[in-house]
Amino acid sequence: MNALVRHESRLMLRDRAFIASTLLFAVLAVFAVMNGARWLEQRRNSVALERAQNAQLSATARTEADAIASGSMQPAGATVTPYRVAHRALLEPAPAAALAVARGDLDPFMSRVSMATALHKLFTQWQLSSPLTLLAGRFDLAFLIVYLFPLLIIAVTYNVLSSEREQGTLVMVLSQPVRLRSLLAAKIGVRGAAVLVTAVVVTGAASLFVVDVSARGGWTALAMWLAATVLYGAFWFGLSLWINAAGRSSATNAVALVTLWVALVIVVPVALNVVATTMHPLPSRLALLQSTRAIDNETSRAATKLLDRFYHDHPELVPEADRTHFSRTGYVMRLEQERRLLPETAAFERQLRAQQSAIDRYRFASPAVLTSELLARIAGNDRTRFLAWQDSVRTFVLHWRERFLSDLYLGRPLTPNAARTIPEFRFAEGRIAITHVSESLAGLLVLAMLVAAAGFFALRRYSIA
Amino acid sequence: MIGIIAKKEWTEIVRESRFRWSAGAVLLLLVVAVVSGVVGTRRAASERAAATQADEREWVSQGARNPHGAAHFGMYAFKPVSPLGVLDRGVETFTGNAIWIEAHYQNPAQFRAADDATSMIRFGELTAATVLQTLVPLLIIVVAFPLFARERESGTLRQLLSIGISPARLAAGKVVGALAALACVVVPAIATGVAALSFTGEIPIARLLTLTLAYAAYFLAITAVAIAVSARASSSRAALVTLLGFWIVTTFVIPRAAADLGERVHPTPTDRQFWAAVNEDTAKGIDGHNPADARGKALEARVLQQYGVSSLDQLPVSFEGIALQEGEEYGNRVFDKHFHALWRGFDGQARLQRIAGLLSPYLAIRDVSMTVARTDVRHHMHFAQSVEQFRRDLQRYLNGDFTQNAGAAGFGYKAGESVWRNAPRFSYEPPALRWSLVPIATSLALLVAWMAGAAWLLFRSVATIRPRATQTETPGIATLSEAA
Repeated sequence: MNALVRHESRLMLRDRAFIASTLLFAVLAVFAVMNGARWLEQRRNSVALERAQNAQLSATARTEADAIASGSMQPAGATVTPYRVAHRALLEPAPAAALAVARGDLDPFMSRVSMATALHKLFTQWQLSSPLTLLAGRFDLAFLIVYLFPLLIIAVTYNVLSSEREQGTLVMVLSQPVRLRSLLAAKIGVRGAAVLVTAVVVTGAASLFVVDVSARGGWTALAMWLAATVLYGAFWFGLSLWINAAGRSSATNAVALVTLWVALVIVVPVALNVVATTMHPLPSRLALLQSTRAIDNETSRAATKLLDRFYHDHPELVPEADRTHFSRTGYVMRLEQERRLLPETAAFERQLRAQQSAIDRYRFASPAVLTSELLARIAGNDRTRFLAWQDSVRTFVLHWRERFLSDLYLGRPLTPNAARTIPEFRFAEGRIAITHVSESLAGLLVLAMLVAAAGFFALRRYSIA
Repeated sequence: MIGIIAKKEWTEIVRESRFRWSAGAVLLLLVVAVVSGVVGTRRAASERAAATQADEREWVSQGARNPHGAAHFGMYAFKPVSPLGVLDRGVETFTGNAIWIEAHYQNPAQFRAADDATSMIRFGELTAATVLQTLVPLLIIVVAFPLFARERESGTLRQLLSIGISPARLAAGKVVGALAALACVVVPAIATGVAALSFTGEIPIARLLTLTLAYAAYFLAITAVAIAVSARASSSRAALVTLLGFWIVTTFVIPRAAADLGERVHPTPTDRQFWAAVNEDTAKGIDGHNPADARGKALEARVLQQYGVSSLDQLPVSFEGIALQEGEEYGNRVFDKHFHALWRGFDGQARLQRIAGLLSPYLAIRDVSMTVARTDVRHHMHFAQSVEQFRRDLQRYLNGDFTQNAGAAGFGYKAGESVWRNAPRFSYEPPALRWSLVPIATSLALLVAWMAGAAWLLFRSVATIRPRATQTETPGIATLSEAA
């Protein structure tokens, strides 16, 4: 076996095409990491700008509140009132965000929270991103791993056995005291080790520059990323082993492997999307919009009446001077709109989550789906983290309302104390769901072992002539 | 002679189980794609029609309001569904399908399908265009890679050439044979497509014909490249590996790399950058809600002079209405500046990807296909521009009513239903085919160039064809890098 490995390693290192394609992969990996890093830098800048806005707004609030308290400013002159004071809840990029953009350039990362925001309008933002760029998708490390890594593996292994047979050297090798099984294992094993080690070293080293390893979970994310890369690669080596063991010609092997690639990387994910969206169809966004408009219309007409009803229930909150009437009407209107829209918005949320959990459930149908979901999750640009953030923002809004409610109804300005304790959003984020990650990694391992085992089984009927 | 060769190739190809399976799979995907395209398009069309009606209802029944309040309540313009979107969804998933028309702001479209999609959206969508652009070339490669190489390997090429068949005719026969096999997939697909289109209304014949010709050129180019490589390659295995490398690089690597390059050369501003720039420019000027600043003063003086009165109370019209309209006019200049810059950036990205079509016929056909289907970025901008034109008309109408009828009541004035009823309505006239085709001239020319270049390559390859593999193959692996 040692001799076999030595021999195969020599063959592999002499193979210029092998060296060239592995090098090309390494170069593309560096390019991909740089692309992701560029995206992340832009995102970090945007987040920093929003954070600066928060700081600026609370500074203004403090100055104005102090001025009002000292009598040098009329309450009516304040720009930051309980109704207007706002805070931007931010979704900060995760430590490994540069590695997989995934949904990162589609989902909003900021939500403006104030008494003037309605729950159903928290995440509707204008989007400017270039549609053409979104259509093509990013050339990030996740794309390289999910799409191109299998092709590298196919290119260096599709004919390891068939070419020896086609040249007639297989018979000669097997006339030595060597078993076919050991020969194939050595061929795939040596190439597998070389490619996987290269991939881990290159992507690992490049990632070190862009993954924030000093942040909590940074090292874990990097380790999980590399583990996913190795296991996904192992699956494709196993698959190639199987196809080689089936004993067809080199050309047939290449066609079979590329067809499998098309099926697993292109067709299954698209089909899965069709299945998930057909099983859990979303209601119409436009119908929701129209309900929102109709309710807007009705509530704005009924607003005065609604406010009267509220004051009837809460006589202690009726202000002496009715100066901030507009803010209060706006607030009760919004509450009413939320209440009436709730069935529709809830149905939307429910279906969106159902779709995503269908994808979660069926992700084992293709190692490409499994890996791409896993990589997105490690990078923190996935749907699940986004939905958790949305929940967290909604909770924050409720907390915010509790905080400013009485000031708003009583028409009081912000006190210096209140201006110094404006609630700040913190995304109470759990660690990357360890069960999801370990399930996915285990799934990849099992799939890899299954295809390799099927290969060794098929090898028993291999005809060497 | 060509006919005989073609018939032989056709028979050989369709007898192979590899062809039958892969052709069957591609055909199945095509049919599923078309059917889901029809279902999706019809659903989208009915949703938008319902939304348009409902919006009209809300607009008319908004009750007594100040015209400026109505302008803030606004209207929605819904993007009509393009009939050929059944076949090619283009960038529709990533552009919004409704634009909110309100006072002071030119809003970008909202409600992108991608926002409500699952994480699988990043793997692309199943449309007829995706299958035709990515999977059919793979099918062509699988069919065409052995056409010359295998004849050489089995020695029949030598025999054929020895009986005096011209290599060019041989090549022509093989091209025709391969295309005939391909037609088994494409013709039923076109038939399904046309049938599907008739479900969604009138068939845009000129556009459909353009699409058919473009795809024909694309398939011809790929077929010629594949057969040329087959004629040159040292073995059928080498031919296959080279062609697969070509396919991967041109359909997967170059498009993404070109998109990233496009973002580098023509960066899209972030939302904050964009709106900060807009707000800064607007702040320098007049604010519709606050006619007290410097520009307001200048306007005041101008209006007083125009009406020959000495104070605003003596004006026969409402100064607030005039100030609001003045704010709109100023805003329009600001929006024109910034939106045109944004769109120039998108255009630049599209141009850059068009040039990348030199390296990838996939990019050329993608550009032609979505533009002809009216689902590309430029058609979206056309829609947005026409909505913006309407927004300005609507603001002028509402501010005009304010100016004429508010009198001393100012913002306290309330207009009624007749004003809402008589307001202009948005209707969208999609551009004609010629408008669509002009900017994609590069891509059309590139498709023709790919076809001509591939034919030339094929001609050269068969003219110098070697009847026997001259060198024995070195053990090793031909790789993607050869093709790259």
